[in-house]
Amino acid sequence: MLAAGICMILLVVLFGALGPIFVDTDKAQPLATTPRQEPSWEHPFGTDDAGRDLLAVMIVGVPLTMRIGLLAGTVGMSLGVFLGFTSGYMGGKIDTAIRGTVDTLLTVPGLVVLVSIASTIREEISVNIMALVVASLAWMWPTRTIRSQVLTMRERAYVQMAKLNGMNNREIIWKELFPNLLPYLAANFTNAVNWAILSSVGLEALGLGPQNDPTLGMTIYWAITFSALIRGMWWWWAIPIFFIALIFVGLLLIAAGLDELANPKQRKAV
Amino acid sequence: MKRWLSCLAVGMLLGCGGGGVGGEHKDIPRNRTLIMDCSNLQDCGGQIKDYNTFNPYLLIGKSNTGWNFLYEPLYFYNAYDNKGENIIPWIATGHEYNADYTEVVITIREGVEWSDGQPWTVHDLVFTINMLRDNAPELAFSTDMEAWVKEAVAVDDLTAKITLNKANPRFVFSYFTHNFDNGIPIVPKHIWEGQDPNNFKNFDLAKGWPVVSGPYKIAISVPEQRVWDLRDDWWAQKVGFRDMPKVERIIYLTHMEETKRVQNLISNTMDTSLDIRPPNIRSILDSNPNVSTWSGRELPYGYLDWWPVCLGFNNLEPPFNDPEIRRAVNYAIDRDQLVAIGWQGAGTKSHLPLPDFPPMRKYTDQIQDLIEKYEIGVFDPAKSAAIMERKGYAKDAEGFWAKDGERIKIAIDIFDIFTDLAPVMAAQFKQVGFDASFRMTSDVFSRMAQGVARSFLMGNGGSVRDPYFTMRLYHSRFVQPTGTHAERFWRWSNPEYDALVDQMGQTAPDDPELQRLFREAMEIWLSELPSIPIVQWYHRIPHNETYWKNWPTAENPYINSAYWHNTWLLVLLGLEPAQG
Repeated sequence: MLAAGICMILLVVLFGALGPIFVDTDKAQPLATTPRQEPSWEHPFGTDDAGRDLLAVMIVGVPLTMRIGLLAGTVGMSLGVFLGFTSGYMGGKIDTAIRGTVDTLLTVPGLVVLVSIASTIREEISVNIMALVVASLAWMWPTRTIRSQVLTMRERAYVQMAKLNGMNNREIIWKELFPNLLPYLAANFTNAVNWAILSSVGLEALGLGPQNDPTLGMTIYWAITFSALIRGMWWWWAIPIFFIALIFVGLLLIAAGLDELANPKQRKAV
Repeated sequence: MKRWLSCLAVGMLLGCGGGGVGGEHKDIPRNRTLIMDCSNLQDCGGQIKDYNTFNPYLLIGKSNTGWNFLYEPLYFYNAYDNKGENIIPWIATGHEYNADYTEVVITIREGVEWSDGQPWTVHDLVFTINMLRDNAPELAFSTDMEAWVKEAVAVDDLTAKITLNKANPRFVFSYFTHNFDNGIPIVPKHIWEGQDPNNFKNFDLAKGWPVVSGPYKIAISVPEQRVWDLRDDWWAQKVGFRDMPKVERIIYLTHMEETKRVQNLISNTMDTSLDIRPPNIRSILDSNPNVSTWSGRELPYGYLDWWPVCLGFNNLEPPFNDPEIRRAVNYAIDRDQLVAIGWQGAGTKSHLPLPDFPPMRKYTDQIQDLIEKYEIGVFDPAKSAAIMERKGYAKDAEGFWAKDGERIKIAIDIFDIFTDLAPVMAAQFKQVGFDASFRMTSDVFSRMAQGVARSFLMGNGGSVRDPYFTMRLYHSRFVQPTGTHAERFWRWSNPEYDALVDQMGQTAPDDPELQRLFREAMEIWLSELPSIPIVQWYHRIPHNETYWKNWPTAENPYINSAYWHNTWLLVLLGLEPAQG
């Protein structure tokens, strides 16, 4: 699973990295070419209503969408690691406060909150702002799951031994707990990136994304706005959806593979 | 099947309950029913929010699902008639101003009645004017009445005299001649007298309210739908003024997003809808041979609206406070390409902020030399570059104009209706070296009003008969400092222009002097270019002919077909059943 997932994501990364060598990325802008062209040798992915070449759009848009996912995932995961470790290891009132906050926020539908946040932004939404919007909710699941792992680990013998050896809390967290959780954190990070990408695509498809950038979600937004489905312009919506599916499945397989590595029980089950 | 559909609709409504449901309901077949969605997203999104009120003077929270065509006006105005028969007397038979336009005497026809059988007299007109004037500024139209009306009195039942605070040769046209979204609804004195108009719901089906003068009465009004049924005692038929409409039932559904509208029109579930963007109306025409438009099944799939679109600026703030920079931007716009790509050819470019209606041409034809002189509509990147270089700009490493290391940025604020034009325009600017982008935020209106938006796409809702109202939009009386709410967004001032526009306001449309004043004012406007004319605005409204024919068209332009406008009654009177 891990290998298959890595291959899929590598394919997507290479597409974005090597694409500009073969395709003029200026063609991702409106007026770059003849509008409304079906896929052909000249335009393998076709063109949209404004004259964007959709191959160029994908070459520019896939890395932009990945960037949103990675940025949001990194911010969300960092917060989640900090809060999860603090809550799980420290316990007491801090744990109650963090756990209560997370449990409460997790009951609120994420997309609704994100739509509210995104629609209150008064400036032009850039890719980085988009990532921060998504990151605002990307920390809760990591916090909860990391906390639960830390809760079990802090009772283990090697942690007790470290305490007896005089290590302080910070040293125990960073030198004892953190390394043991790395595969688990990696799986969590992959999930966080995946969630962030899907959330950003969802927001963008509603028009709440970086309107001047050809991300995958904004491409879907334009396809919806101009009724590509009804008009039979299948390439306009199908191609970005294909890339989203590829990224989603790839990241899912990586996360599942990492989970296997981190969790021997799961390995046996498979 | 058809009968079943209508029965189903009514049956569902009856099951819905709610405060507004009516009493007994006639069984009216689908081919005598007209179905459309409510045009206002804000007031009908998800549900018709004013389903249990009918107060046309509320500033917010009223949907155009009845009041706009059932309070009949003194006159209608048809901007599309090219034979000169633009004014259509309705309740009024005539009016006459005194020599200095400070007084007007209005006479109305005999036999006009409200839906409860009470006579419609000038007492209703006078009451409406005074009620609005006394309730300024809380009610819609009230500030206008306060500003203009000194006294309104009834001379007798059929004659009213209105004395104005200052000369206004357009008073009757501005307020009591319904056209597009314009016109004050006149309400029955015997219902509204003694009520607080700020809170009066005017809705009680048991009492027969709302009392209107038009030929329909509410059958059902629930959050999901508002249904009007034809009443057989309309005054206009009784006095032989007009035949009864053939449309026996009108159903307004809640507001729909465009994709849903397209599907409903293709499946003949709806007969017309809010205007639709070019690619989608083409899809409807391709999928449903029974659907047509004002221009038939040909481009531009609609009619010219009164809202020509300009690229506007906050003229107080750099860099757009410099007329030369504005002119450089003008040379960077390829309007033909905007229409061809952005609208897929379904529209026309514009060189003026005025709509190209037949009555307007006697004014606009005489300034074509000025348009050529100031090269409005000329796409010439070389001239744009020459201006920018003269102003001290040079292109940076990425090919964008910059001065002192700072790029000139054009961030165009837009409403969602401009999502087809704005990306194309931004790309055009980038191609000639302007660092351009567009943004569509939820607070776009207040951004423009506050002046935070430095450049924006906006229509000029002004003139439909003579150029005064559009010219007035650019009067410096609307200028407010950046950061302060302004009624008009351009923040441009020119004392000489103001003086000419003030004179235009005092000059009757048929006075030849108006031509001279307009030309002089327009020369100032075109030389300074406070906003750049881009395109004429179109309503691409589908006309489904499965059940109804004789919709207004370019060949038969008896009125425009926007059902949210105050002229919708004329369309209802024009429609003929397509089936039997």
